[in-house]
Parts: sequence; structure tokens; C-alpha cells
Amino acid sequence: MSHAHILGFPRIGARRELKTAVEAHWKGQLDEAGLRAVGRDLRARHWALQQAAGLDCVTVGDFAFYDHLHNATALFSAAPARFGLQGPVDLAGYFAMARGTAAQPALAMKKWFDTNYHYLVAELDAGSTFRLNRDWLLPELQGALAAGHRAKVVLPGPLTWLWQASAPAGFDKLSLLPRLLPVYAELAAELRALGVAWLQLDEPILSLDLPAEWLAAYPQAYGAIAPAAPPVLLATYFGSVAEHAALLKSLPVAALHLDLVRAPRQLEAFLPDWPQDKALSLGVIDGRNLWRTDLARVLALLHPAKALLGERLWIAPSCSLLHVPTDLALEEKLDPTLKSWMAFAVQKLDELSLLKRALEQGEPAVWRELQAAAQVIESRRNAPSTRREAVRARVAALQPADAERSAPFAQRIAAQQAVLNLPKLPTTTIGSFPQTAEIRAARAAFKAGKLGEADYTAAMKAEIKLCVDKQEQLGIDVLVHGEPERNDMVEYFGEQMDGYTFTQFGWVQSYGSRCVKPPVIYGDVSRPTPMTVEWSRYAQTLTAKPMKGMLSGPLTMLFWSFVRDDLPKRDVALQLALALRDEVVDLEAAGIKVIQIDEPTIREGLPLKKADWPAYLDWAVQAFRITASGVRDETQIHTHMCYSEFNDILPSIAALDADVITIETSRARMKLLDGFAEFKYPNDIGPGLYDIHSPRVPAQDEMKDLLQRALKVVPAERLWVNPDCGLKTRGWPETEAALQVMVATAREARQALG
Amino acid sequence: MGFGYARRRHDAAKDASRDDSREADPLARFAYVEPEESIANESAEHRHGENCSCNLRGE
Repeated sequence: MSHAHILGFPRIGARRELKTAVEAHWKGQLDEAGLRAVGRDLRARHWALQQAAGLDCVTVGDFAFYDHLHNATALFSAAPARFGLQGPVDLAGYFAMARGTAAQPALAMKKWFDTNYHYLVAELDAGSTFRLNRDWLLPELQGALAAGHRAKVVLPGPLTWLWQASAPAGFDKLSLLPRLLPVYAELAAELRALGVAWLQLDEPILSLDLPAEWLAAYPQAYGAIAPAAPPVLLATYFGSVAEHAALLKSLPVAALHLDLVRAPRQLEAFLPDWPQDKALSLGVIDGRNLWRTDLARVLALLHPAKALLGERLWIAPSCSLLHVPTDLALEEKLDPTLKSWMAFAVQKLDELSLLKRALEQGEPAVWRELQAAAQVIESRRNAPSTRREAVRARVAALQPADAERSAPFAQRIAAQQAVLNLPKLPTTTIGSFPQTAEIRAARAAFKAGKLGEADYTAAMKAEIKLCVDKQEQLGIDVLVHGEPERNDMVEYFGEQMDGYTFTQFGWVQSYGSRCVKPPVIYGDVSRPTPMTVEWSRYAQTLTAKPMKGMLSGPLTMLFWSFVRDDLPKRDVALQLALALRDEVVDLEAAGIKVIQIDEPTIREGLPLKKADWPAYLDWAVQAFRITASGVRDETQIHTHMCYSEFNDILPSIAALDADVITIETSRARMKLLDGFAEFKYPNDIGPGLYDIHSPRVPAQDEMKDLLQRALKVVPAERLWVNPDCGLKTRGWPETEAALQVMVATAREARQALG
Repeated sequence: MGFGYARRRHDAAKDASRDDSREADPLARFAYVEPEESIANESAEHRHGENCSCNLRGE
């Protein structure tokens, strides 16, 4: 036998049923019983799929109405006191913490490792206590057991849950472990009494550079939980844990899961002397991407493991399937060949089932299915549609000079100023303006074929004119066209590039009820025709002021897509860089003198271990510079990055060599700039002067205060004035009011500077 | 370990779980329907966290 299991299944439903139900509940259109019924039905469906695939147990505990880490916060009764929840956390309290209340802001949200999933950050402090809340998890488990399923319960491991929480400065979260462990042990004992087959504790933090004291806490933690628990599976994923092999072999757990998709070579550190009393779960199906698995390659890896481990070999996807869409079968418009190369969560269950049968019954017993799978892999490998020789040749011919502007910044900025003639503290915005109901209606009608191309273009041009007129009235110095024609900063460009395709139902959860549908890069990327030039050219005809051309950068195009797995990410990034470089050059040729290349995702690609950062940053910076370096010195290149910790990668941010960088800083009251000042960031900076995430219009004194703070660390001649981010989610009234204050603040500061 | 389910039961469950019949599926009425004006039209309570609206994408 070979044990097959999954670490988790996507919870949102193939047709995003959970989104519909949760949002209806929030609107008061579906009561709690109705919402719980939807959750029950979704779980039942997902367990049935796992059962149908012949998995050895179903996974319980991966479902959540908002976020599974937040479920653990409710399960451990760890609600922050500021929410004033009375008694055990109920569903209303759970949502109050997730979404905020009139009196209290929501819990903070953070990215889950290097995925696009965001979790709610538990708030802990010295007074935090934990108590088992039996209203959570246990009813779901009862549902699985009542349906006759053999259940494996999954929970965040105690150390990972603590690590991801926030705590006041100077407070050591790890000191709470002795308080937390009894709750885990109490729960584990109940799970055992209920007949749970396995307890899966997720400890992905083991893939990070973990401090020694945290590593040292593992024996204590698992020593406290395991004795009373069902057999414990400790699950690691997203990276190698090979350096912790000795520790992991010694822990009192019954099984360990390794991510062999992200870190295949780590198996060598575990397999040869894997303890006889433990199972080893090998994550061989990619839980982070939607391509079909090369089963022949995987079986070649599994057979030696099977010979050594026998029944102690488990097989699984690399991580929870939370990060892939649910069911490929719903896709009706995908090119059939491309579709045949893909596997969503349901199809990955089928792959797992086939691997299990091949291991148990021998490959001849499933020869036909393996042959069919191999043909698909072969078809993809040899498909002409994935390979464009001209693109490959262009990447191969790249020279260092292609990533260099012709003059250093000091010369460029002087040449740009001679052309642009901007005042001190020039004002601009980040790119988008309010996407009004009229714009969305026009786009929806155009997509539905109810509005012709000419009428749609006319409608968008009218919006652009409105935007330009308003900016002229406001007195902004560098204008934007407002991006009414764009739905999403990745999809809009992907739709116009070769090598991209799009799904109908390829949704993955981003946070809460929000889902994203990343485009799919399946082949070599190129740009057949200009994508934005006509819109920018038109906008420039409406004003004598400089009109900024707006593009998404190569890293953003890469990290917000499902990327082909048959080419290194670096190579795909360089292809994207060349395609976007062509657009930059065409914008310049069309008379656009300022071009912004947005890269909000540069941190998203950072590897989990710092030792791997330099290699990534090297090609990431190269990709940006290739995009930006095809223009003359007089053309000013801007970039925009969102609120993020930049200080540890400032040399790489500087190496991008953008003439102007605009960054989100107002919420941190310009603190971010200290790092830029300390580093002596050489080029122009536009720190956001107000937070666009709220409709609130800041008073002029607030903006003045922030600008003064900025002026203390950035010389006036290198300082720009702009909002924190794009304005597409705002309405016009607050947008105009806030920009009026912003322009007035800049003018006043200019006068003071003389 | 062998907790396998009988193959016939697998198939029945598989068929049931993949049944496209809207009437048979209690979740059918919850299939998400894009609003007429479908773009990220977030309400204020969604826009929080460490990332800005560029990053906290989603519909």
C-alpha cells in the first residue's frame, strides 16, 4: 500500500459558491444557518472528491469562512481584547475581527509566505491566554466522521501559528508557547478519542531562516502534543528543510511531509536513514501551479523511495491545493490543447490516484492511463506554440548594454528637466483615476458585445478627456490618462501579448471572499502590436503638460500569473522585459516624455531564504532595467512600489535606476524614507502624501506635516508630491478634494523654498 | 494502511460530486455571478493590511 493524501483543498468552490454565500451573509441576505449549510455542502463535496480519488483519508480543517489561520485564532480563543468579544468567539466575532467594526480596525493581513494568499494576523501580547473553543473545527470533524470518512485533521503547527502572529515590540512571542501547548494537547486528545486517523500540523516556517531558539522549541512543542494525539504528520512546504533533517528525524511525530516540487534535492537528506517508525510524505504534485505532472518522472523518483520505505511512503501534492483553481472541467473556452496540459485541484486528485495505483499495482496495471499522461507531457514539450525562435534569439542576444541607460542619472535628470521644465516639488498621481459605474458598465457592455468597438473607444476617450480636464483644473504638473480602459494591471497587458491564455474559472482565494484569476503564461512571450500607445497619444493631444505613459513591469506580469514550469522564471522575466521594452520605446516615439513602469511585486519574488536573495535580485533588477533602458536620456522613467519593507533590498531598488520612484509611505508617516535617507538613495523620490485606501480627505496641515518630514530626509530638488497609490477604487468627489489639498500643499512648500 | 473505499463507491461518489445537474446540486444557487459592472469594486472594510490596492487584488 502507499498512502495518498492532500494537505488541503481549495475552499471557495468551483463556482466561487463560498464567495456568494459569505458576501450574501455580510449583506444580511443569508442567515448564519444558511451560510453554515453552504460550508457544510462544500466540505461534503470536497471530501467526496477525495474519497472518489481513492485517497486514504480526507483532510478536515482546511475549510474556513475567511481564513484558516484565523480559524485557529477562534479555536484557541485568542481574540484580541480590543474587540470586546464576550464568551467564546462565534461567527459574528470571527467576521468582526476579519473585517473590522465601527470601533475597531480589522486584524492586519499579510501574505502567506510567497503565495498570493493573505492571512489575518493574530495579535498576541504578554497577557494573551488560550482556551479551546469547541465551536470550531470539532463540528466540521463530526460532519466528516458522520459521513463515514477516515479523517486527517489539519491545523497550523504551534510554532508556525505563533511565528505568524504580531506582538508588541520587544515582546518574545515564543514565550507564549508553554501557554499554547496545553490547548493543542487537549484538542489532540479529543481528536484521538473521536477516532481521527492523523493530525497534520503545518510548519512551513521551517523553510525560513529560523532563529535557533525557535528551532530549539520543536522538541518541546511536539513532545507536549504527540503523546496524547493521533499519529502526527508534521508538514513542511514551500522550500527545503534539509538543514533541519537531524532535528526532524528526532521529533516524536509519526510522519513528515516534504515539498519535493520546490526542493527536490532535500530528499537526499532524509531518505537513506529515515527512522523505521516514521512515514515520509513526498509532495510530488505541484500545489502552486496548474500544469499537469510528469508522472513518469515522478514515478522514477518514487520507486527507489518505495523500495526503501515500503508502506511508509506517502504521496501528496507539494502543499495545500488552496493555491490552485478548483476544477478544470468547467473550462469551456480554453484551447483544447492548452487545456489538456493543465490540472486544477480536482485533476490533481486524479493524478495522485493514478500514482497511488501505479505504486500499489505496478505500472503495467495502469499502463494505458500512464501512456495517455505521458503523451500529454510530450505534446506540451514539443508544442510549437510554446516556442518562438525569434523571442529565444532575442533573449540569447541580450548584452549588458541593453540594461543600461546611456548616461548616468545626474546627466539624465538635467536633460529631462530641460524638456519637461517642471517646478520644484512636481505633482503627479500614480496612474489610475476612479473607475466609475459608467466606465464599468461600458466595459461590461463591450465584453458582452452590446457596445461596438467604436462606441467603446469613444466612451473611453470621453473618460480620458474628463480625467485630463480635471487634472488641468487641479494644477497637477505631470498628468496621467486615468486608465479607464484597463480592468486589471496584469490581465490588460496579458490579453495583448502572445504566450498568455486566460481561464474562465481559474479563481484562487486572495483573502476573505476575494479571489483572483491569474492569467496563464504557457509560451514564449512577445508583444505583436503596441498595447497602450494610442490611448497615451490621444491623452497627450489634450494637454500641453507632460502625459505619463503607464505600464506594468515584467516582474508584476510574472508574479501575478501562473507561469510555465518548463522555463526558468528568469527567462520568462527577460521575455516579458523585452516585450515591455518595445512598448516603452513606442511610447517615446509617440511623443510620451514620462513613462512609469509599475513594479509592486519586486518583494514577492524574494526567495524564503536570504542566501537565495542575491541570485533572484540580480535577474529581477536586470529585467526591469532592460524594460526601461531603450529610451533616450530625455525620457523620464518612473516606477511605483506599494507599501512594503524596502530597507533590506534598497541597493537593488537603487540598482533599478528609475529616474523617479513613487512609494506608499503615508500610513507609516514617512518612516520608510529613513531607510532611503540612510542609504543615500540617489534618484528622485515621490513618497505618498496621503492614503488612498480611505475616502477620508486629509486636512492640509496633515499633508504639510508629511511633506515637511519628507523634506528633512530628501533634498527638495529630488522630491515629488503624489498620493500613495492609484485612485481607481476611489470616487471622484474625495479624489478631487484630496488632490486639491495635495496641490495646494506642494505650492505652499514651493513658495517657502523660494 | 488500506482504508480504501470500495471502487463502486468511489465511482458513485465521483459521479455524484461531478453532477452538473443544477437541481441536484444544493450549491447551484450559490454559483457566483459576476455583477453587471464587474471590476474590483471594493468596499472600505476590505482594503486593509500591509498591501495597497495594487496588491490586494481580487473580485
